[in-house]
Amino acid sequence: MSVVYLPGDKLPVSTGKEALIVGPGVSRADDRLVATQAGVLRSKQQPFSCWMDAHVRRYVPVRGDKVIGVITGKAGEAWKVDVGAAELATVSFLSFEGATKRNRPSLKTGDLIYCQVLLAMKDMEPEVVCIDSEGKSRGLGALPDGGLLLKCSLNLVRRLLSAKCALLPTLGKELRFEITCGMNGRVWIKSNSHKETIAIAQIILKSEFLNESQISELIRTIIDRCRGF
Amino acid sequence: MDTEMSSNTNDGETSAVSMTKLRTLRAQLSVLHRADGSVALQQGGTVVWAAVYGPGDSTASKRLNDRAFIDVLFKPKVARPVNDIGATKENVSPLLRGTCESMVDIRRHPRTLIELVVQELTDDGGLRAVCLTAGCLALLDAGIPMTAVFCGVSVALMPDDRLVLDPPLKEQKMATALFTFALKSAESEVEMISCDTNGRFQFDHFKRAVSLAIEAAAEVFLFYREMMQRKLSLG
Repeated sequence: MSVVYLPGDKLPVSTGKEALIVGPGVSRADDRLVATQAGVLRSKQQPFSCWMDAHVRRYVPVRGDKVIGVITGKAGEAWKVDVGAAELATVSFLSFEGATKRNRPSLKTGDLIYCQVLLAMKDMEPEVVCIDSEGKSRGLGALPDGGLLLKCSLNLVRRLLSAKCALLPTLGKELRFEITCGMNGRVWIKSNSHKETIAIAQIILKSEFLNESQISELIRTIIDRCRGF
Repeated sequence: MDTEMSSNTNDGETSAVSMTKLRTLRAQLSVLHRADGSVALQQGGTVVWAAVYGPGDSTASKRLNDRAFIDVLFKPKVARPVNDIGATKENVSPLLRGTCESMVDIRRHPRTLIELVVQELTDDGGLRAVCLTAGCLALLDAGIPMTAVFCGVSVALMPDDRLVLDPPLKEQKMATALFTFALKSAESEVEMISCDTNGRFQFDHFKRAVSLAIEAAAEVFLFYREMMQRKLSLG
């Protein structure tokens, strides 16, 4: 069983002369690393980085995260987007593929966009974009109409996206669906029928605290129920 | 995630000898699905729910430029007069807010609001201390960054000069003084960071009460570890 550290605990990581990247949930106090969130310590080599794997529901924007936002209104030459953080983010009209001053993307309040966080600092409001540095969208942009937006914990999304989790591939063998996972704890699902969409939503939400074998059982149960057995 | 953990066996009902053990602690984390962090905590017969929302948006009146605003709302079940020995929002909110402001990393989230709502369900003594403990568990459940963990411990001074740790309501009503301590722990060092006292006592009683509370707090912190271990080492 992995050790869970509480805030204030000194972590067994040596802060020698090599480069060390201090991630979320860990902070430096003199020459020791200290936990600031309750969680399991995770680390990665080359360069050596460590962070706390804590169970959190509230999103704090981090540069580079791909998130699902909801357009809430206009502000000058940009839209205001709700990404689930403490402040609304902005997305400029020009931050979409093929957008020019004359050719604006057609988004309205309530639309969902899959965007990347460009600017996230504690003292400034976050900014998101739907293109990369080359001007290509690469999957970012407005999400199609229809579909269901789920709110879940950040941990669940990270797990869904990780290579080790077999939930989405297993589900993909049984049902046809489109899915977008935002690192801000939002998952958008669209399937052939409402019944299937709801079944997928239930599977995702219920899988949070199950291990891999229990997940395949869960998928089996819910899909059978959905198909009327 | 529902986790339940009970620690220790003392039920604190008898008062023939000096009570030096805390009452049984039981908690369930994440009981409220809309809150970012929540806990239902039971200590002996006292039951309290606490919920944390944040770091989130706030109105202009609750926005500080360089740090987070911590808003503590205590909801008593029974209206008590302001100077009552029991818990009222006049005595719980400032105690809890002050403790949170020193324990939570408020500089990390400026211009945001961290709201902590504590609801009294049953008062069987030591309610203020239980509110402190519940507050910390809710903050841990929410993953709010903190510099250390804290808890609350109450100690009563009885008319015969005896100190009773974590008294049930019957004993608390007969006490000449009630001490509520907020204690923090970074690794294994336990320190008292604030206290709230009611009644008349000598400084010697206070010193003894502090050392009693520090010993007892170690148990509460162990309980936190067990709770978070249960919650986080799955999956």
